[in-house]
Amino acid sequence: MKHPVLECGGLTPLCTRGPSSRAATKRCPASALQKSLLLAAVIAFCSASVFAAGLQPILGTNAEAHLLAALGRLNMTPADAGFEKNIGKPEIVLSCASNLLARPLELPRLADEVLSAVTPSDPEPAWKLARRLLDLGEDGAAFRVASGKALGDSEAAWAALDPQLAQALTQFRLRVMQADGIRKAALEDVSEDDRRYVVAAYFAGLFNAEDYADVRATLVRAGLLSDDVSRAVAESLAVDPAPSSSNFLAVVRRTDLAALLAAGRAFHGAVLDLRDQVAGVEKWPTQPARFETPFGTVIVGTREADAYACDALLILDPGGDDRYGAGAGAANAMRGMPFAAIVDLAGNDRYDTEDLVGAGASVFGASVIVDAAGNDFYRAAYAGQGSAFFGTAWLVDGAGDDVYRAGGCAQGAASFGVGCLRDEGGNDLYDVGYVGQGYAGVLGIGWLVDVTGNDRYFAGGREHDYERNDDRYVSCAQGFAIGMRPYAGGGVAALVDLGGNDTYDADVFAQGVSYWYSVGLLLDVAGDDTYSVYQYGQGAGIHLSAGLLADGGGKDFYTGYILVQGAAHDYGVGMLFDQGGDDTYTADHHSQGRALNNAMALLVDEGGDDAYFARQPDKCQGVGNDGDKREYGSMALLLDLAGKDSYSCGAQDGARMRRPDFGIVYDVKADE
Amino acid sequence: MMATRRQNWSVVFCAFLCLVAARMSPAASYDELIFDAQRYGNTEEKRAAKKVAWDELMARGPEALGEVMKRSQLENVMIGVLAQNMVEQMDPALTAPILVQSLSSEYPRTRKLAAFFLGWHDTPQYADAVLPLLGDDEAAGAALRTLGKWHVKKAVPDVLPFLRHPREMRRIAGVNALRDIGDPAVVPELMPLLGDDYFTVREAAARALSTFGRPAEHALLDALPTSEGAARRHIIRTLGVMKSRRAAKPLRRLLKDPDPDVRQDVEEALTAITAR
Repeated sequence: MKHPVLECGGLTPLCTRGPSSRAATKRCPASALQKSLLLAAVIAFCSASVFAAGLQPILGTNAEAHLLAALGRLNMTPADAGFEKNIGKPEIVLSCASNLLARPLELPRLADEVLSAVTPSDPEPAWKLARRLLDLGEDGAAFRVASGKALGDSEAAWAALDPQLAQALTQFRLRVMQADGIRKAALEDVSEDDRRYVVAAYFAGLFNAEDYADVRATLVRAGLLSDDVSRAVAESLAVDPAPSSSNFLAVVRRTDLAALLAAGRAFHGAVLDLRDQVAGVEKWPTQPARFETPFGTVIVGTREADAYACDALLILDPGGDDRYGAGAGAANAMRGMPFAAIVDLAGNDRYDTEDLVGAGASVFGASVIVDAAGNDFYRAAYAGQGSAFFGTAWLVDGAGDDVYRAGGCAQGAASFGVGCLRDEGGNDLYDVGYVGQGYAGVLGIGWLVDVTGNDRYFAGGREHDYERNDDRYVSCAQGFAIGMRPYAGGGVAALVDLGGNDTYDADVFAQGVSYWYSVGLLLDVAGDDTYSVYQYGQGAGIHLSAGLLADGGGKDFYTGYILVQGAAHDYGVGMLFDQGGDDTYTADHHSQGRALNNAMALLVDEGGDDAYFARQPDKCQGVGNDGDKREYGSMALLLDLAGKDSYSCGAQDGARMRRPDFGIVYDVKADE
Repeated sequence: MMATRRQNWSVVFCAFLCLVAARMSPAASYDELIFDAQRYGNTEEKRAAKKVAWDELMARGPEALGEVMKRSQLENVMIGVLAQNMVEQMDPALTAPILVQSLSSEYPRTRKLAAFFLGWHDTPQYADAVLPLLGDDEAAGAALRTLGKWHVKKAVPDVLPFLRHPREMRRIAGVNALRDIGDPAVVPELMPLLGDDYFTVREAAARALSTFGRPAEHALLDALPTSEGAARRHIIRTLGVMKSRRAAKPLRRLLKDPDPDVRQDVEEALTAITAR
């Protein structure tokens, strides 16, 4: 995985030498050549979209050939990776999540597709891929919903503004009306009671309303009835989860998710077009101007420092160091505000709220924030910053060193919708209590994309991991997806960082990991990076699920304790790919190409002099497991394709060391 | 100062436990006990209640296990974990009759768990109660395992069809059951599985064959010359695992095989065979 521009043409052809990769200096195993050519043809066909985009596949032809050879040494073929893992019976599951259990080697290809879709600044490829991953069709037809309301109610008021600005607002209002029509169609079978029921159930559980009075108060302030919250808490305590789960999923089935996403996409397009149309406007109000529309208030700010703390359909601000408080940028249909947008063209701005639905969050609606420039500070006590629940949310921040802080369900997080945070530049800090930074729940697409800069990602410090690691925190972040076991699979989560030396810090469940019919990805294209997690992470699939971490190069440090670094557990699929640099891997046990309880694990390091440290080497480094009372094996592979390397398990350069139940350490030495 | 503070906290905690214990009097219903015992312990209070409920359930013995098993059809993974912990820690002579009762539950999940738990202890006197579950789609895998662990030889005819079951996991369970039962007459039935589509089945079959001694050695040596693909390599490896001296000669002939993986397998097998 390399940046499409920086590394264009850097593909590593089979059995050839090339300056761009040390791995390319390695000779392919002759025995595998025939099989490799056949497989390469298949891979080339499958990866056509990636090749077309000029990106290097995460699992390239060279690595693929060596993978084939490693499997051959184990008396296996790629078909063996499809051993039975899809044994659950979820009522709702994404086809990509279930298919990956049967065809695990398609996981890198899926990651290639995500990378290709989110790399451009144009959001259309991301929208298209999100819909496809959610098994939804094209939404073109949705835009044909006829407008049904008169346009004149507020035009007269904003006609006094700069003509270009007034025209842009009129266009925007028309587009909002269309989006509103689509949204209403999406939810016509979902009553107000239904909406409050699922919102209460989800957020009461997420933020532990049972134990915290302030959370219960926050939920009521967000538009729920206290009875809604009490019922949600009571249902969460039931020993039998079936009735409440059945009620919840019934609401999901009554929701037209395709149309809900179409509404969000229409609103997103409206906001982006508005931003483009007002770019040349020179005459702005000297005092904030307010205009009422049937869809909410439109506020046009000044070039000075303005402060906003109110519900609004749109806040359009040309500059100044502004403050955005409660309600601003929050699309909360529970409070009658299904659409909310902020377009801020300049200045060092502050977005700060104590509400459940913060700036850049949506509940049964659509939120869009576009902050073009400045060193900005975002803080949400709960959800925010590209967070969607039954809806869509996009936050795009342009240049500047930014700080993002949130309690949870934030920074590219979604369930039953799409949540995306995209930061275009600067050295940024991301801090979330848990659930965020590329998080996807059921039918969710949660993506965090950071384009450049040396960034820091932290997830944790809010909820202890009781009964497993009492002194640790649950992170559920940094490319983490989860389903609603056993009833529904999860979505597709990705944290994508396209450049810079980055630091990823989390505790339990983070950094390309997933749980129960989901897909979690962490894709870091370039830079010297540091990854730290305690349990379940760094390319891990847990319980019938798939997780992947791919790093495109640089000297990287991977630190973890258990089930990390290309690890999988209980019919899961976990993979870690590192495409270059002198890397250091440190773990205690069940890590580094370790498959536990009938799972498939793969760690591929393509270049550099690497060190693999494991405190319990008999439980790490290409080791499978017989599943205890299940008494059959897993597939575990650790492949190092170049450099002088060091292993705790005793493997040497050039090793083809078969490992128990059923795995291998496969190393390619320099003169091989 | 710190010590005093710690002592104070200990007193408070003990008092708290006493309060919880008082609530969980012997009169506490099974619904209350099971609720506390399976609950996520994210507060001190819940963890204390959990411990008290667990202790009380264990004190009530097999009857409590029966109550938990009555709820084991629920899609609540913690109920299953609770039942598992109780089976592990209670006297098998007392728990087995309870589990046998659960074999006839109307709920497939309960039957499956009961059949699975029974196999953890050596109580083959209940084999006749488990045998019918081989026809139970949900519970068949657990029944196979349990009958194998109990070495129930009369189950063999009913186990053999599972070697051709469309589900990979059933084939594995069948192979493992036959290995555990230990009747070498099944060797010819196991041989084709060395060429199964999935390594999980092939490896299980190879492991089973390696436990059958001379009959398996004969079958493997007979098959070696005409075998091919994955099956051939499993035969080579299994002969090595069995340290078959009679295999040394035919294996040496394969040292010039064009496939380097085959040559490597042969070398490793010969090393194992000739090792003292």
